[in-house]
Amino acid sequence: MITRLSKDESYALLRGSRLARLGCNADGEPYVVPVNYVFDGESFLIHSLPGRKIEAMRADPRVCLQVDEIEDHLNWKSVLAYGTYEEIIRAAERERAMSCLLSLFPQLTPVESLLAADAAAPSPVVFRVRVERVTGVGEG
Amino acid sequence: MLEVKDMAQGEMLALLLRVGYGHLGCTRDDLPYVVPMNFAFDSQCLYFFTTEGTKTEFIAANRQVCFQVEEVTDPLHWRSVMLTGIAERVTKPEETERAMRLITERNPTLTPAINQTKIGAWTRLNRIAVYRVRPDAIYGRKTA
Repeated sequence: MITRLSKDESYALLRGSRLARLGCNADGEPYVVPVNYVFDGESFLIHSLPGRKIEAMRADPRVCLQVDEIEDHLNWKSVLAYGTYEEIIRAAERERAMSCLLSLFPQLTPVESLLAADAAAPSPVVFRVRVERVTGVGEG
Repeated sequence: MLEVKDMAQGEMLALLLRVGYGHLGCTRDDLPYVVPMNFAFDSQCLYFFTTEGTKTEFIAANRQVCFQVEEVTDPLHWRSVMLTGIAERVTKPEETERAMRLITERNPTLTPAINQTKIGAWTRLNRIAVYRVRPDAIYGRKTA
């Protein structure tokens, strides 16, 4: 039977995972991409190269992040967090956010250094999604 | 060095044929909604089913959906495909049965108690809504 997860269960899942699907509205059409994230209990911190999802979120900042833990069709949890896209632009704050992400996802470092070496390359975008509402369901 | 590149059409179709589980994205009043979902792809269309509820309401409000399917080994090795299109409710009994059979074949543990020959009756009894998405676009990215 499918049951609602408590707030604590939902937040525990968000804290325990590193992979979410980011959903946003791209000109009236849904757009979903997998993203790595850090969650501090209030906000998601995410890093992305510029592209369609960044354009879509700049135009409409209402987004959702879906995180799940699926063992099989009878034992699973899925949490949906709704929030607002906020680009981190101030240099000091951006650097702090970036070093936090890089400490967890060190594979991003070569991309950063590659980009740093290429003045024409686009700069990665760092953004926060402050969580406004969370719903969770599960079974088993 | 993490390099991400576009996937070729053949690779994207192969992934959709191989994987039976993904994420459905909908919007209602431009608000996004994402849920995990089992599916099947028959090289032409993608099929999925759900019970009547929030998902069927979202789709009724806006039939333009997307379906994201991934294979993630680790943050350095992954591929992800997104298919977009209009979700059409499947109503003909023979097409409903065929779609349900495809989905449960791809995901054998989904309905363990259901004999494949009784799947039509099970679908009707449980108020299952079956949808077909004929892709209008398929995009894919992967790590090099």
